[in-house]
Amino acid sequence: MLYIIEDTINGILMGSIYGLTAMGLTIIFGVLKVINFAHGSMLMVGMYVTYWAVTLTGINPYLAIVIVAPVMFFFGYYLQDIVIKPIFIAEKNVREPITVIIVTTGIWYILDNLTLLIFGPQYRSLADNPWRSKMLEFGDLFISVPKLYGCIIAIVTAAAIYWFFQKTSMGRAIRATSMDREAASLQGINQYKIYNLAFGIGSATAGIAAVTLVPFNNVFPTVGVLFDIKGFIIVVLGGLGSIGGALVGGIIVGLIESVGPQFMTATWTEAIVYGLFLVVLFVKPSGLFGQKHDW
Amino acid sequence: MPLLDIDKIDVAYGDVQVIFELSLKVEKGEVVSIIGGNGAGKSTLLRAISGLMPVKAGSITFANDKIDKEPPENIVTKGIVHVPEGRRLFPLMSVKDNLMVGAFNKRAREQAGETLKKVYELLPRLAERESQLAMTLSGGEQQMVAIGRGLMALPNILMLDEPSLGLAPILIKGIFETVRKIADQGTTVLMVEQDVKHSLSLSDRGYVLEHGRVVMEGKAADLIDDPHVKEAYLGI
Repeated sequence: MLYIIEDTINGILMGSIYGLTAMGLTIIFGVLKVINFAHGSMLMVGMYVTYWAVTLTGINPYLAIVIVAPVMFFFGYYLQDIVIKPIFIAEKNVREPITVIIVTTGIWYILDNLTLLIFGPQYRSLADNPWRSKMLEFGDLFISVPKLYGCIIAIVTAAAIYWFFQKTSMGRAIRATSMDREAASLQGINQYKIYNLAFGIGSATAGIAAVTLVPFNNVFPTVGVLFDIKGFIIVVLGGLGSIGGALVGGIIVGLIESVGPQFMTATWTEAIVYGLFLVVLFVKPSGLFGQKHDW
Repeated sequence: MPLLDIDKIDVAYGDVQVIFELSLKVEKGEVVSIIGGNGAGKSTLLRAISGLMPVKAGSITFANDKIDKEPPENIVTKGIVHVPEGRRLFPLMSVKDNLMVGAFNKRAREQAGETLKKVYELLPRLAERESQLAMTLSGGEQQMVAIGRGLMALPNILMLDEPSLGLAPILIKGIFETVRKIADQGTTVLMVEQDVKHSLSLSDRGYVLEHGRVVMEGKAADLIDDPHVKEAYLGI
């Protein structure tokens, strides 16, 4: 029984970190209507930025957020502005520009291989890192400290993004663009600037997720792929474009992965995750919290 | 010098030309109606003015400023505000958020609070529905939100594309009364309408469009009595 409680708690904690890794994906999709296949690679870039920021300056790995989030924001902002925007402009009259998806796939390969070229294939982890296996003990109950921090950061990030989208003028402009970009341009909103911003915010969120991962996860050039596929499942579960949905979707996946092995061989949990993914697609294709807005 | 001066423009969707050497002028403070049947190019004309469609030839000048190569967001900032056909609200946003998005441009943003009050005075129904999602409103209320959203941008010219489309006759009357009030408060209005009788009766001047060309123009009162207009558009 105790194991189940412990696994449930750790599943929720890890799941909210999964949710955080997927949040940028859902934001970018919500606004640009494009699946960003380079999202895992942006997470990987964020992890390298975190790793080097901590290794070179020796700051607390969680404080690295103040460096990583802005760096990743500008990385995403200019990636969209310089590489993706021209494709959008060329495909202006297409409702769902497929070529942009192909471009993001190209960015994924370029980023992963560029990282391999520069930093080599080796696994890196923070030197003398007190967090890696730190546990909180409640009697016989063990809770991983870095995952607890990750969960808190995930919830705060989701709340902050939600607030930004609901309460600020720029947030409203982003939501308006996501619903009807032509009508938004008639309100004086520059659609491409909003795309840059959304990509920047998505990328910064990936950076924040990277900060929560580095204290207990190795950093290597293809680390993003692990979170990429999980990210797609999570955003479909939660509903594409929904920020809270990403968090809940992440927690569902985290729970299945963590509690599942109590009842079955661990490899089966993956089958359950994919099975659930299919069931959601059949029963409620807009996801648990997705809203349809074509009237 | 007219406020809006359209000089011999051509507009085309790809190879299909829709507007041919069309010229049109709007003076400050006027209400101008553009009437014509389906496919005459009325909506396309408004889309060309607001920058949604490229102008192939000719020029559009607004307050001595050439605007035919500008993107839509710049044209809004200059003061030409287009309330599109079919209302095009942001369905999952509240009425208030829809209105606030209207005040996104730099000129309007600082005064958004005051403008919102004025819009609520003009359209009190919207104040009641403030926190409701736009998609849950009735057609007439949606049209009010669309007009209100246009006013939030502090227009010098408000361009309305078929504000009466799909509304019950009693609501149509209300919408036109609102348009008249807006004009009386000093906003120039350029309106495209199929409801010729109502729109001409509240306008100062009118243009009749057929196959992308102006076939008639003049005082609204004269047009309404014109035999051609009567036969083709009023069914008398």
